Amino acid sequence: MKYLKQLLIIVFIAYIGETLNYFIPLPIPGSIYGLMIMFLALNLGILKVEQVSGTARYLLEIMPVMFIAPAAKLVSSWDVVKNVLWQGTLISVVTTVAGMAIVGKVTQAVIRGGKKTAAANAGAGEGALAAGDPAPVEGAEEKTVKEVK
Amino acid sequence: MAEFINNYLSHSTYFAIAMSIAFYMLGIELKKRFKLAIFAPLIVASVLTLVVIVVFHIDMDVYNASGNYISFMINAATVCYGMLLYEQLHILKNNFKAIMIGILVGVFSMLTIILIMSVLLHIGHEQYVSLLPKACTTAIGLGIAEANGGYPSITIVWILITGNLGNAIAEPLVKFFKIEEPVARGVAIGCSSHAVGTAKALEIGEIEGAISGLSLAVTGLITVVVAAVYAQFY
Repeated sequence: MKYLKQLLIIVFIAYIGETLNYFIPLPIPGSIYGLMIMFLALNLGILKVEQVSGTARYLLEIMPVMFIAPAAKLVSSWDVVKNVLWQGTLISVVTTVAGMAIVGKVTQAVIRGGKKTAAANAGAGEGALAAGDPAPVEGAEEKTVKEVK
Repeated sequence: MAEFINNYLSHSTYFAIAMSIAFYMLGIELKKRFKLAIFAPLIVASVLTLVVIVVFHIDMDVYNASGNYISFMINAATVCYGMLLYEQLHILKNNFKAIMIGILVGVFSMLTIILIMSVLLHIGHEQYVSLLPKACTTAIGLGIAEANGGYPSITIVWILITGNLGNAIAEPLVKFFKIEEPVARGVAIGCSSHAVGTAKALEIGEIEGAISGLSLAVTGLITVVVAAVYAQFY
Protein backbone atom coordinates (compact mmCIF):
# COMPACT_ATOMS: atom_id res chain seq x y z
CA MET A 1 0.00 0.00 0.00
CA LYS A 2 2.88 2.35 0.74
CA TYR A 3 3.96 2.81 -2.90
CA LEU A 4 0.38 2.87 -4.10
CA LYS A 5 -0.43 5.77 -1.74
CA GLN A 6 2.71 7.62 -2.78
CA LEU A 7 1.89 7.17 -6.44
CA LEU A 8 -1.67 8.36 -5.86
CA ILE A 9 -0.46 11.57 -4.18
CA ILE A 10 2.03 12.33 -6.96
CA VAL A 11 -0.37 11.54 -9.79
CA PHE A 12 -3.19 13.44 -8.07
CA ILE A 13 -1.00 16.56 -7.80
CA ALA A 14 -0.08 16.18 -11.49
CA TYR A 15 -3.81 15.99 -12.21
CA ILE A 16 -4.57 19.17 -10.23
CA GLY A 17 -1.78 20.84 -12.21
CA GLU A 18 -3.44 19.83 -15.48
CA THR A 19 -6.75 21.16 -14.21
CA LEU A 20 -5.19 24.53 -13.34
CA ASN A 21 -3.61 24.61 -16.80
CA TYR A 22 -7.06 24.15 -18.31
CA PHE A 23 -8.75 26.89 -16.30
CA ILE A 24 -5.96 29.51 -16.12
CA PRO A 25 -5.40 31.12 -19.54
CA LEU A 26 -1.58 31.23 -19.37
CA PRO A 27 0.92 29.11 -21.35
CA ILE A 28 2.13 27.47 -18.13
CA PRO A 29 2.08 23.67 -18.32
CA GLY A 30 0.35 21.52 -15.72
CA SER A 31 3.61 19.97 -14.57
CA ILE A 32 4.94 23.37 -13.44
CA TYR A 33 1.76 24.04 -11.43
CA GLY A 34 2.19 20.52 -10.03
CA LEU A 35 5.79 21.19 -9.04
CA MET A 36 4.67 24.32 -7.17
CA ILE A 37 1.75 22.50 -5.50
CA MET A 38 4.07 19.71 -4.29
CA PHE A 39 6.51 22.30 -2.96
CA LEU A 40 3.78 24.31 -1.20
CA ALA A 41 2.03 21.23 0.24
CA LEU A 42 5.29 20.07 1.83
CA ASN A 43 6.06 23.57 3.12
CA LEU A 44 2.62 24.03 4.64
CA GLY A 45 2.79 20.61 6.29
CA ILE A 46 -0.17 19.24 4.31
CA LEU A 47 2.20 16.54 3.07
CA LYS A 48 5.21 14.90 4.70
CA VAL A 49 8.27 13.91 2.68
CA GLU A 50 7.85 10.25 3.76
CA GLN A 51 4.45 10.22 2.09
CA VAL A 52 5.98 10.65 -1.37
CA SER A 53 9.75 10.09 -1.18
CA GLY A 54 10.14 6.43 -2.27
CA THR A 55 8.08 6.72 -5.44
CA ALA A 56 9.33 10.25 -6.10
CA ARG A 57 12.95 9.12 -6.06
CA TYR A 58 12.14 6.18 -8.34
CA LEU A 59 10.45 8.50 -10.85
CA LEU A 60 13.33 10.98 -10.70
CA GLU A 61 15.86 8.23 -11.32
CA ILE A 62 14.13 6.83 -14.40
CA MET A 63 13.21 10.29 -15.72
CA PRO A 64 16.01 10.59 -18.34
CA VAL A 65 14.67 7.49 -20.11
CA MET A 66 11.31 9.24 -20.50
CA PHE A 67 12.89 11.78 -22.87
CA ILE A 68 13.94 9.19 -25.45
CA ALA A 69 10.48 8.75 -26.97
CA PRO A 70 9.94 12.53 -27.51
CA ALA A 71 13.41 12.71 -29.12
CA ALA A 72 12.38 9.96 -31.54
CA LYS A 73 9.58 12.25 -32.80
CA LEU A 74 12.31 14.06 -34.74
CA VAL A 75 11.61 11.50 -37.49
CA SER A 76 8.12 12.94 -38.03
CA SER A 77 9.10 16.64 -38.00
CA TRP A 78 12.20 16.17 -40.17
CA ASP A 79 10.66 17.67 -43.35
CA VAL A 80 9.91 21.00 -41.65
CA VAL A 81 13.13 21.13 -39.69
CA LYS A 82 15.65 20.44 -42.47
CA ASN A 83 15.19 23.93 -44.06
CA VAL A 84 16.57 25.69 -40.99
CA LEU A 85 18.57 22.82 -39.58
CA TRP A 86 22.07 24.32 -39.48
CA GLN A 87 20.93 27.81 -38.44
CA GLY A 88 18.72 26.50 -35.66
CA THR A 89 21.33 24.02 -34.48
CA LEU A 90 24.03 26.71 -34.44
CA ILE A 91 21.80 29.12 -32.49
CA SER A 92 20.79 26.34 -30.07
CA VAL A 93 24.38 25.31 -29.43
CA VAL A 94 25.67 28.88 -28.96
CA THR A 95 22.85 29.90 -26.60
CA THR A 96 23.11 26.71 -24.54
CA VAL A 97 26.86 27.00 -24.02
CA ALA A 98 26.85 30.79 -23.52
CA GLY A 99 23.69 30.66 -21.39
CA MET A 100 25.02 27.98 -19.06
CA ALA A 101 28.35 29.78 -18.63
CA ILE A 102 26.81 33.24 -18.11
CA VAL A 103 24.15 32.05 -15.65
CA GLY A 104 26.68 30.00 -13.68
CA LYS A 105 29.22 32.81 -13.51
CA VAL A 106 26.66 35.49 -12.57
CA THR A 107 24.98 33.33 -9.92
CA GLN A 108 28.33 32.34 -8.45
CA ALA A 109 29.49 35.98 -8.38
CA VAL A 110 26.34 37.04 -6.49
CA ILE A 111 26.66 34.13 -4.03
CA ARG A 112 30.33 34.84 -3.36
CA GLY A 113 29.74 38.59 -3.21
CA GLY A 114 27.07 37.95 -0.56
CA LYS A 115 29.43 35.73 1.42
CA LYS A 116 32.15 38.35 1.42
CA THR A 117 29.71 41.02 2.61
CA ALA A 118 28.39 38.70 5.32
CA ALA A 119 31.91 37.99 6.49
CA ALA A 120 32.85 41.66 6.44
CA ASN A 121 29.72 42.68 8.35
CA ALA A 122 30.35 40.10 11.02
CA GLY A 123 33.93 41.31 11.42
CA ALA A 124 36.84 38.91 11.65
CA GLY A 125 35.20 36.88 14.41
CA GLU A 126 35.58 33.13 14.13
CA GLY A 127 32.49 31.23 13.07
CA ALA A 128 30.88 34.40 11.75
CA LEU A 129 30.10 32.71 8.48
CA ALA A 130 28.71 29.64 10.20
CA ALA A 131 26.37 31.70 12.34
CA GLY A 132 25.24 34.14 9.66
CA ASP A 133 24.96 31.88 6.67
CA PRO A 134 24.67 28.11 7.01
CA ALA A 135 24.76 27.41 3.26
CA PRO A 136 28.47 27.90 2.53
CA VAL A 137 29.45 25.77 5.51
CA GLU A 138 27.34 22.92 4.19
CA GLY A 139 28.79 23.42 0.73
CA ALA A 140 32.30 23.26 2.15
CA GLU A 141 31.50 20.10 4.08
CA GLU A 142 30.09 18.50 0.99
CA LYS A 143 33.20 19.31 -1.01
CA THR A 144 35.38 17.66 1.64
CA VAL A 145 33.20 14.57 1.59
CA LYS A 146 33.44 14.40 -2.20
CA GLU A 147 37.23 14.79 -2.09
CA VAL A 148 37.55 12.03 0.48
CA LYS A 149 35.46 9.73 -1.71
CA MET B 1 9.66 -7.09 -44.31
CA ALA B 2 8.85 -3.60 -42.97
CA GLU B 3 5.19 -4.49 -43.04
CA PHE B 4 5.81 -7.63 -41.01
CA ILE B 5 7.93 -5.75 -38.45
CA ASN B 6 5.33 -3.00 -38.03
CA ASN B 7 2.51 -5.48 -37.75
CA TYR B 8 4.47 -7.52 -35.23
CA LEU B 9 5.54 -4.49 -33.15
CA SER B 10 2.05 -3.00 -33.15
CA HIS B 11 1.11 -5.99 -30.98
CA SER B 12 3.79 -5.14 -28.44
CA THR B 13 3.38 -2.54 -25.68
CA TYR B 14 6.81 -3.07 -24.20
CA PHE B 15 9.29 -3.05 -27.08
CA ALA B 16 9.97 0.72 -27.00
CA ILE B 17 10.15 0.71 -23.21
CA ALA B 18 12.62 -2.18 -23.12
CA MET B 19 14.60 -0.68 -25.99
CA SER B 20 14.78 2.76 -24.30
CA ILE B 21 16.01 1.40 -20.97
CA ALA B 22 18.51 -0.98 -22.64
CA PHE B 23 19.91 1.77 -24.90
CA TYR B 24 20.10 4.20 -21.98
CA MET B 25 22.04 1.69 -19.87
CA LEU B 26 24.29 0.96 -22.85
CA GLY B 27 24.89 4.72 -23.00
CA ILE B 28 25.89 4.73 -19.32
CA GLU B 29 28.35 1.87 -19.99
CA LEU B 30 29.86 3.68 -23.01
CA LYS B 31 30.22 6.86 -20.95
CA LYS B 32 32.04 4.93 -18.21
CA ARG B 33 34.38 3.27 -20.67
CA PHE B 34 35.22 6.20 -22.96
CA LYS B 35 34.58 9.24 -20.74
CA LEU B 36 33.60 11.40 -23.74
CA ALA B 37 30.86 14.04 -23.53
CA ILE B 38 29.38 12.81 -26.83
CA PHE B 39 28.55 9.50 -25.11
CA ALA B 40 25.93 11.17 -22.93
CA PRO B 41 23.51 8.28 -22.23
CA LEU B 42 20.52 10.25 -23.48
CA ILE B 43 22.17 11.14 -26.79
CA VAL B 44 23.38 7.56 -27.30
CA ALA B 45 19.92 6.19 -26.54
CA SER B 46 18.12 8.78 -28.73
CA VAL B 47 20.45 8.24 -31.70
CA LEU B 48 20.25 4.44 -31.44
CA THR B 49 16.46 4.68 -31.23
CA LEU B 50 16.37 6.90 -34.34
CA VAL B 51 18.67 4.44 -36.16
CA VAL B 52 16.42 1.49 -35.28
CA ILE B 53 13.29 3.41 -36.40
CA VAL B 54 14.86 4.43 -39.72
CA VAL B 55 16.67 1.14 -40.51
CA PHE B 56 13.68 -1.08 -39.75
CA HIS B 57 11.18 1.40 -41.27
CA ILE B 58 9.21 1.41 -38.05
CA ASP B 59 6.05 3.47 -38.38
CA MET B 60 6.02 6.40 -35.90
CA ASP B 61 2.47 5.55 -34.85
CA VAL B 62 3.61 2.04 -33.99
CA TYR B 63 6.64 3.37 -32.10
CA ASN B 64 4.65 6.05 -30.25
CA ALA B 65 2.00 3.55 -29.20
CA SER B 66 4.68 1.96 -27.03
CA GLY B 67 6.99 4.96 -26.51
CA ASN B 68 4.24 7.12 -25.06
CA TYR B 69 3.98 4.69 -22.15
CA ILE B 70 7.40 5.80 -20.96
CA SER B 71 7.03 9.52 -21.52
CA PHE B 72 3.55 9.80 -20.00
CA MET B 73 5.18 9.89 -16.54
CA ILE B 74 7.25 13.00 -17.38
CA ASN B 75 4.69 15.29 -15.74
CA ALA B 76 4.51 13.18 -12.58
CA ALA B 77 8.32 13.08 -12.39
CA THR B 78 8.49 16.87 -12.89
CA VAL B 79 6.07 17.25 -9.96
CA CYS B 80 8.60 15.32 -7.84
CA TYR B 81 11.13 18.12 -8.29
CA GLY B 82 8.86 19.96 -5.84
CA MET B 83 9.97 17.47 -3.18
CA LEU B 84 13.67 17.91 -3.97
CA LEU B 85 13.14 21.64 -3.80
CA TYR B 86 11.48 21.38 -0.39
CA GLU B 87 14.37 19.28 0.92
CA GLN B 88 16.80 21.99 -0.21
CA LEU B 89 14.63 24.86 1.05
CA HIS B 90 17.29 26.38 3.30
CA ILE B 91 19.64 26.64 0.30
CA LEU B 92 16.92 28.35 -1.71
CA LYS B 93 16.24 30.84 1.09
CA ASN B 94 19.90 31.67 1.59
CA ASN B 95 20.53 32.16 -2.12
CA PHE B 96 17.23 33.62 -3.30
CA LYS B 97 18.78 36.83 -4.67
CA ALA B 98 21.59 35.03 -6.49
CA ILE B 99 19.21 32.52 -8.10
CA MET B 100 16.78 35.19 -9.30
CA ILE B 101 19.52 37.47 -10.67
CA GLY B 102 21.20 34.51 -12.38
CA ILE B 103 17.99 33.39 -14.09
CA LEU B 104 16.94 36.90 -15.16
CA VAL B 105 20.37 37.66 -16.64
CA GLY B 106 20.33 34.22 -18.26
CA VAL B 107 16.90 34.54 -19.91
CA PHE B 108 17.66 38.02 -21.26
CA SER B 109 21.10 37.09 -22.57
CA MET B 110 19.90 33.85 -24.21
CA LEU B 111 16.96 35.57 -25.94
CA THR B 112 19.23 38.43 -27.03
CA ILE B 113 21.69 35.97 -28.60
CA ILE B 114 18.78 34.25 -30.39
CA LEU B 115 17.56 37.65 -31.66
CA ILE B 116 20.97 38.78 -32.93
CA MET B 117 21.81 35.44 -34.58
CA SER B 118 18.34 35.13 -36.15
CA VAL B 119 18.76 38.57 -37.75
CA LEU B 120 22.30 37.77 -38.95
CA LEU B 121 21.31 34.37 -40.37
CA HIS B 122 18.14 35.78 -42.02
CA ILE B 123 15.76 33.19 -40.66
CA GLY B 124 12.14 34.30 -40.83
CA HIS B 125 9.95 35.64 -38.02
CA GLU B 126 8.14 32.33 -37.48
CA GLN B 127 11.44 30.46 -37.25
CA TYR B 128 12.81 33.09 -34.85
CA VAL B 129 9.76 32.85 -32.61
CA SER B 130 10.03 29.05 -32.68
CA LEU B 131 13.57 29.35 -31.32
CA LEU B 132 12.78 31.75 -28.45
CA PRO B 133 11.52 29.12 -25.95
CA LYS B 134 14.28 26.61 -26.76
CA ALA B 135 15.67 26.69 -23.21
CA CYS B 136 12.26 25.95 -21.66
CA THR B 137 10.96 22.56 -20.68
CA THR B 138 9.04 20.92 -23.56
CA ALA B 139 5.51 21.48 -22.29
CA ILE B 140 5.98 25.17 -21.50
CA GLY B 141 8.14 25.82 -24.61
CA LEU B 142 5.49 24.49 -26.98
CA GLY B 143 2.91 26.75 -25.34
CA ILE B 144 5.15 29.80 -25.78
CA ALA B 145 5.87 29.02 -29.45
CA GLU B 146 2.19 28.60 -30.19
CA ALA B 147 1.15 31.72 -28.26
CA ASN B 148 3.58 33.86 -30.29
CA GLY B 149 2.86 32.40 -33.73
CA GLY B 150 5.77 29.95 -34.07
CA TYR B 151 5.81 26.27 -35.08
CA PRO B 152 5.66 23.96 -32.02
CA SER B 153 6.88 20.99 -34.11
CA ILE B 154 10.13 22.87 -34.83
CA THR B 155 10.43 24.25 -31.30
CA ILE B 156 10.50 20.71 -29.91
CA VAL B 157 13.59 19.93 -32.02
CA TRP B 158 15.53 22.93 -30.64
CA ILE B 159 14.36 22.09 -27.13
CA LEU B 160 15.66 18.54 -27.56
CA ILE B 161 19.00 19.66 -29.03
CA THR B 162 19.36 22.18 -26.19
CA GLY B 163 18.45 19.69 -23.47
CA ASN B 164 20.60 16.85 -24.78
CA LEU B 165 23.53 19.16 -25.41
CA GLY B 166 23.15 20.69 -21.95
CA ASN B 167 22.97 17.20 -20.46
CA ALA B 168 26.16 16.22 -22.30
CA ILE B 169 28.26 19.33 -21.64
CA ALA B 170 27.08 20.30 -18.13
CA GLU B 171 29.80 18.45 -16.24
CA PRO B 172 32.83 19.55 -18.34
CA LEU B 173 31.42 23.08 -18.78
CA VAL B 174 30.97 23.88 -15.09
CA LYS B 175 34.49 22.57 -14.49
CA PHE B 176 35.96 24.57 -17.38
CA PHE B 177 34.34 27.82 -16.25
CA LYS B 178 35.20 27.08 -12.61
CA ILE B 179 31.56 27.18 -11.52
CA GLU B 180 32.08 25.50 -8.17
CA GLU B 181 29.11 26.54 -6.03
CA PRO B 182 26.51 23.74 -6.17
CA VAL B 183 23.72 26.36 -6.30
CA ALA B 184 25.34 28.21 -9.22
CA ARG B 185 25.77 24.89 -11.06
CA GLY B 186 22.11 24.03 -10.53
CA VAL B 187 20.88 27.42 -11.76
CA ALA B 188 23.22 27.31 -14.78
CA ILE B 189 22.07 23.84 -15.87
CA GLY B 190 18.35 24.27 -15.18
CA CYS B 191 18.12 27.72 -16.76
CA SER B 192 20.00 26.79 -19.94
CA SER B 193 18.89 23.21 -20.57
CA HIS B 194 15.58 22.56 -18.75
CA ALA B 195 14.49 19.11 -17.54
CA VAL B 196 16.91 17.07 -19.67
CA GLY B 197 19.84 19.05 -18.30
CA THR B 198 18.33 18.76 -14.82
CA ALA B 199 18.58 14.96 -15.08
CA LYS B 200 22.35 15.47 -15.31
CA ALA B 201 22.32 18.05 -12.49
CA LEU B 202 20.66 15.41 -10.32
CA GLU B 203 23.52 13.00 -11.11
CA ILE B 204 26.07 15.65 -10.12
CA GLY B 205 24.42 16.22 -6.74
CA GLU B 206 21.14 16.60 -4.82
CA ILE B 207 21.58 20.36 -4.35
CA GLU B 208 22.40 20.81 -8.03
CA GLY B 209 19.37 18.72 -9.02
CA ALA B 210 16.91 20.51 -6.74
CA ILE B 211 18.08 23.99 -7.70
CA SER B 212 18.13 23.01 -11.37
CA GLY B 213 14.52 21.79 -11.06
CA LEU B 214 13.53 25.07 -9.44
CA SER B 215 15.43 27.06 -12.06
CA LEU B 216 13.76 25.32 -14.98
CA ALA B 217 10.36 26.19 -13.53
CA VAL B 218 11.27 29.83 -12.87
CA THR B 219 13.00 30.12 -16.26
CA GLY B 220 9.87 28.83 -17.98
CA LEU B 221 7.65 31.31 -16.15
CA ILE B 222 9.94 34.28 -16.88
CA THR B 223 10.33 33.23 -20.53
CA VAL B 224 6.54 33.28 -20.98
CA VAL B 225 6.65 37.05 -20.38
CA VAL B 226 10.04 37.93 -21.91
CA ALA B 227 9.50 35.89 -25.10
CA ALA B 228 6.21 37.71 -25.73
CA VAL B 229 8.19 40.98 -25.71
CA TYR B 230 11.09 39.64 -27.82
CA ALA B 231 8.64 38.27 -30.40
CA GLN B 232 7.87 41.91 -31.33
CA PHE B 233 11.53 42.73 -32.11
CA TYR B 234 12.04 40.76 -35.35
